[in-house]
Order: sequence, then C-alpha cells, then structure tokens
Amino acid sequence: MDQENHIEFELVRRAQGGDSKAFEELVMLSDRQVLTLAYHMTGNLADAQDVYQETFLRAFRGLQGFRFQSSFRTWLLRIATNQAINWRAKRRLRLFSQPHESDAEDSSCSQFVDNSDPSATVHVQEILQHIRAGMDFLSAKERAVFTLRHFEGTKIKEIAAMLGCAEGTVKNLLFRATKKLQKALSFYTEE
Amino acid sequence: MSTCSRHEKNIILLVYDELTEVDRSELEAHLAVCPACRQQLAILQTWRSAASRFSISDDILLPTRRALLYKLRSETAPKRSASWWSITRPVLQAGLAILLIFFGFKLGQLRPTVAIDDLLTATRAIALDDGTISPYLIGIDKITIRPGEGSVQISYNTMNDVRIEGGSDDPAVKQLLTYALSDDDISLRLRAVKALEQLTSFSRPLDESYMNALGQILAEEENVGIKLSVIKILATTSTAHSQDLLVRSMLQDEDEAVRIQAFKSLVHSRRELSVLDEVLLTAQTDSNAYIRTKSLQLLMNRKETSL
Ligand SMILES: [Zn+2]
Repeated sequence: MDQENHIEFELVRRAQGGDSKAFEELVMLSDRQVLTLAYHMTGNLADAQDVYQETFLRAFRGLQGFRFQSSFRTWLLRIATNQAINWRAKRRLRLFSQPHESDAEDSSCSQFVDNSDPSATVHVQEILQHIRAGMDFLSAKERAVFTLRHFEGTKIKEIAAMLGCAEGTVKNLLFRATKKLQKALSFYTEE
Repeated sequence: MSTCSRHEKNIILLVYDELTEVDRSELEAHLAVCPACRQQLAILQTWRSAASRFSISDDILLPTRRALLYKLRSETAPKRSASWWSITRPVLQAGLAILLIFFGFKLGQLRPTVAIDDLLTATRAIALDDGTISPYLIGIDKITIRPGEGSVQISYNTMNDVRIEGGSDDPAVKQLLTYALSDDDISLRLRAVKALEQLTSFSRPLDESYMNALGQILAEEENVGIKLSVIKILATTSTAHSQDLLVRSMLQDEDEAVRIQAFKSLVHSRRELSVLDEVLLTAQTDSNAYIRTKSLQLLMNRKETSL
C-alpha cells in the first residue's frame, strides 16, 4: 500500500469511528477531483456542485460500508459517477416536465483553464470548449468513461473495477466516445 | 485506408499510455509510413494536453467545499427525536406510550443504515470472457410483473445492461427491489411495491431487509397509494415486525385512508393479536369516525364473548 492510501485509510478508520474532522480531511484531499468529474459529467457548474454535494453526503452516510477493498478515491469516484449518471437521467425528466426552465450553460470554459502559461491558452480553451460541447452527444456511459480516462487520468483497468465491467467494455466505450467527439469537433472546426 | 482502421483504436490507447509493447511497436511502424494516422495521433495528443490544463480554481472549489462542510456539520449535529413522535394529536400519545412499551419500539432507529457498497453493487456476478465481475448498479429501468407467477423480471442498468428474473427470496431480486423501493422516482417505487405485493402471495414471508424498506416507506412516503400497497403487503405477513409497522401506521399516519387500512388489517387478522384491546382502546381517540365506531363495536363484542 502506498503512502497516500495509508493516510487515507487511517482517516477513513477515524471517520468510521465517528471523528467528523477526519471525514472533512478526506473531503479536502479528494474534492477537487470529484468536482472536476462532476463538471465534465454534467456540463455545467451549478449541477456539478449538486452532484459534488450529493456524492460526499452519500459517502458520509455510507462510510461504514467502505471495506478497504479499493482506494478511497476509487470508491468516491464510483459514487460520484453513479450520482452524475443518475442526475442526468433525472434532469431529463425535470426538463421535460418544466419546459420553461432555463438551460443556459456556460460553455466558455475560460474560467477553468490554468493560466500559468498564457501562450497557448486561447487554443487550449478552444479545444476544451469544443470537447465540452461534443460531450453532449455521448451516452451517459461513454461520457463517464471518457471523463474518467481523459480528465481524471484513471487507468482503464481501474475504471473497469470502479464501474464493475470488463476492461474490453471500457475500451469500447472510450473508442466510441473519442470517435463521436471527433465527429462533433469536425463540425465546429469546419465552419 | 483499411490498414489504418486497424490502427484506429491503438492510436487512442497510445495517447492514453495504455498500449502494450507489442502493439506499440507495430503501431509505430505504421505511423512511420502513414501521414494520416500521424495527424490523427497529433490531434488526440493536443486534446490530452488541453485536458491537463483544465483545472477547477480555488475561487470555485472553496465556496463549494464550504457549503458541503456546513451541510455535513448539520448532519452530524444531534438529531431531534424522531419526527413521527412530534405528531399533533397529543391525545394519542398516552395510548401510543402504552403500545411502545408493548412493542418495544426504538425511537430514532426507524431508518435502516445501509451500506453504500451493498446498496449499489448488484449481487449477481456476470461471467465475461476476461473474468467475472460484480456489476455496479446505476439504476433500474423496468420491473415487469408476471401475473399469476411467483417471480418478477427486473431490467437494470450497470455498465452492462442486465436483466434478471426471480422470486422474492432471490438475493439479486431482493437487492434490486429494496433499492427500487427507496428510489427518487415515484413510478419505480410504485412498481416495486406492486411487484412485492404480487410476490408475497407466492413466497415465504418477507425477510428483514424488505421489512426495513417497507418501514421506511411508511415513515417517509408522501404518496398514499404506495403506502396503501405497503399496508396490504404487511397484512399478509404475520410477523411481529409487520404487526409493529401496522400499529405504528394506524396510530401515526397523517392520512385517514392509511390509518383505516392499517386498522382493518390489524383487527381482521386471523392471528391472535396480544395487544388488540390496547389497539382498540387507542383507536377510539382517532379523529376518524369510522375507526372510532368500529373499534368501539369490536371492543363491545370482545367483552361479550369473554363474559
Ligand atoms: Zn494509417
């Protein structure tokens, strides 16, 4: 077990024993990743924040069910992915029943680009923006796999374990997602 | 171009450093002679490097975190005593207190604690070419009730789509149905309750995990139809737990139809109800005239027969 896991597991044990400060530390160790995942899965910040909160509340309530069989991060991203997939399904229903709800999404992405190297920033923003727009064409599963591999840097093997499917399934979803995105992007770049 | 399509997938794997050594050298040989594939690789590499520049700034993260920590702290704050205790019918509370002693209710323990791993991993493993996996439950699509049969069919969603069929004793059915009973989607909850209603007429009494889920519905459900279905299920199950839940509904539910249904189930049950007298006495303080009259009638009958 590596050092990071060791610290995490120690915090989980303390949190399971009722130490709420320990859980807060776990939040701080992992919440940027969860918010990133939620943002890419939902496509806008407000909804990402909902998924983020729901993920940690569920993790908190279900903490006794964590059995140290995976890293805490894997467990958490698994809950987050599930929340985000369910969230999208519910949102569809919501939008259907309330057609007047504004669905304006901030797709500029500019606020999410690390500006430490300004030289390439505009180009990077453009790519991120196009991918963001293209993600809407992906199925929930394709979006989940693409987000985990592309934005979270999760290995295919780990994604398979996280989502409970075969590595081959993950690969196929990643291929399909990449193809669809490229198709969508060519639409934007050819205008 | 046909040779290129063979390399298409491996280019993607190469970008994500997931290509085996053998495939990698084969691909590199092709890249050396194919400008189209080189261009494809270059495009995907720019995607990848763009992704590495993506970051959620502290300006966004920190307020989001603060809101979460606030919520978490309010969750861990000492709970008020269980909400159903604060009912606005104080007359009932004396009778309720008697019953509590009889049944040994534990206040505040109504909501069963569920382990997220248990809740979200469908128990039925799926055999695949490269091993067996335990699919992670994303949601339930459909519950099909088969009239006249002791089984239901449940289509559920993992990264793989799965469909199972079985009776209420089947561990996977049990897990999926209890999951569905607490789903946010009302039509799914209704379907699950209906499925369970059908199953109970065929199978053995429902076990604790079902009972906990049903108890949770009675405590939290807003839809009267669903609660009435739960009462029907409980009426056919003659365990102490189901009796507890019926008594509690009769005393505490805000909806008259639910109280009446629970009352009927209790007094019409064939089993010897040890606390029937107490139930009938308490029922006379109910705001509903039917419950009052009927319970009085039954009390009189009981006195006559015991004389
Ligand atoms: Zn080629």
